[in-house]
Amino acid sequence: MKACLARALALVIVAAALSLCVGRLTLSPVQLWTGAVRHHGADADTAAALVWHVRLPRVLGALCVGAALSVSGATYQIVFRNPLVSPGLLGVLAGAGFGAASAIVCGQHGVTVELGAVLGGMLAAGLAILIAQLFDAESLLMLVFGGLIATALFTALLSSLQYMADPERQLPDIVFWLLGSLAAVTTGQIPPLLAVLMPGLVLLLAGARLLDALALGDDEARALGIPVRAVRLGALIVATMLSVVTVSVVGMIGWVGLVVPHLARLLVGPRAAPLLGMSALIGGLFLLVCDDIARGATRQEIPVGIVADLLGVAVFLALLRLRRVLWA
Amino acid sequence: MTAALLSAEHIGLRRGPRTVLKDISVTLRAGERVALLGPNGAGKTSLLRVLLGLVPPDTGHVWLGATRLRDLPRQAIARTMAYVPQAHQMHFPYRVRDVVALGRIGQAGLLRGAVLPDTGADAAAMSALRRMRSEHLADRAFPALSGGERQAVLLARALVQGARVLVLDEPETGLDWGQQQHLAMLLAELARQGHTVLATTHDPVRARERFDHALLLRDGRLMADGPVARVLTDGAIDALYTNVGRSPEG
Repeated sequence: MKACLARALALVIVAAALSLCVGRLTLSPVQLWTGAVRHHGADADTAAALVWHVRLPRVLGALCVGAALSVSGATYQIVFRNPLVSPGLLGVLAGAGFGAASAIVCGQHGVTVELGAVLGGMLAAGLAILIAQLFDAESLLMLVFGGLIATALFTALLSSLQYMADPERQLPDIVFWLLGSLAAVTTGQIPPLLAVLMPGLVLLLAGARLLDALALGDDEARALGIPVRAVRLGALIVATMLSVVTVSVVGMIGWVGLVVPHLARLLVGPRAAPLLGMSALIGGLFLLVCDDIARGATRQEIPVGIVADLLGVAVFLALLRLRRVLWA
Repeated sequence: MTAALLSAEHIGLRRGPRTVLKDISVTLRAGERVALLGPNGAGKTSLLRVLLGLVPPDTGHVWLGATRLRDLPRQAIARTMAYVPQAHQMHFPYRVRDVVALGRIGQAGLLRGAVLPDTGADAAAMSALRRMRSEHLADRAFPALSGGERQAVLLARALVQGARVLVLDEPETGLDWGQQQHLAMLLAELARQGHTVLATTHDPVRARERFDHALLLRDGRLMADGPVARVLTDGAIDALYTNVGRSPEG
């Protein structure tokens, strides 16, 4: 299991280095080394600027976002004891979409749109949790209902904003935001992403055995001495923060959070500690590859959200086939 | 007679307008195997959940030794009482040794039990599995086990928990005759080692051989409480299971 994690880490590092070479101007690994790292040769300045200021933030962004979404999805799946759950279950994606669209309709750009997405996402998840607390605080099912209601509400609000938005200037911005893209990721966005991802991952890993106990069922976990409600709520809050922040940076890419934990579980088993670690690595790798395709496959860049969804479908189908072989 | 390990005094439980349990007092002693019998809907599982502290009773108290259950933190309860639930749905293929090792989680406070690395967990799990003669299952996926294998594994987890009181909800359901015999043997062994076993069962005839004590529950009331030979007479069994639901205060 440790060997498996180490191999995945090595793969992530190699893929990250290769990703620095991919793009409209393709660099060879040699050019990457001499130009950008050693600063020798004719195109050294161009290569360095391209690699350090454009591609590196993107590569780091893809790794962080993919990792955060996958860890978030893996946590949601454990908490809800259901392998079909994605980080969007509590309405985070719909809320973030609404928040970002509100900011765009108000004529805002950049950071304000991101803040709007964070607020919207937290508002939606908060509403889902509030509904569950009001009606039946003990029940897991009530949380699912709360999430359904929050998703429906914020999807409707988002639609109304799209309907009202200026079709010339604002609507394209909203649609583009919803598709999800890493094109606008800047160096300045990486520290805040890491500032959420790292503590979140550490907290979840620290509570990994509590999550394992939670996967057994409420009564059993309580009988083992676990404060079920507190653990569940804490895990959901951390996981929601992870997905909300990533969505605010790159837009709606949620499917990754459902597919990647499956692949990770197949490789390292269901225990939370290795599962979360592996999900982070594979999630980062997955989104990195998606982004490489998004910017390398055609002259015109494809939004990474579309690539991630398509590639996710292919991977998921392959997984279902593989699962029958491995778990039979 | 040994001191009471677990006792309930005048337990009452309502769910909405319905009375689920009414004025139930029971006492469990060390080394006793106690069968809880009654028709479906009599309140057996509810009584188990109250005794385990999973639901607070509306009236009355549960005592663990000399302390009220509600004054004890969950972890302290977990060190004394373990729960072996009915066959449950688990979607994730946890390995047996990991499921058993989770019994350690409540042992030393949440920080030490769950957050810091627990190096002895796997050895403890293996030793408990050996005691339940199930060490050959250690690396199997828990959801793929048969009903009997699961019961044995969950009993091993109860041992890892260090619990003296073992509460089992319909442990015989879904087991074939051989598996039932094996389970009865394991429970007898645990009782000899001083554990108290409380289990619901649907088989009053075999309960005479497999348990020491019987509690008969009907419509949320305790109809009888005593040694199996005295309580589980043919007449009492007939009375327990006939005309269910016609009781005036059901």
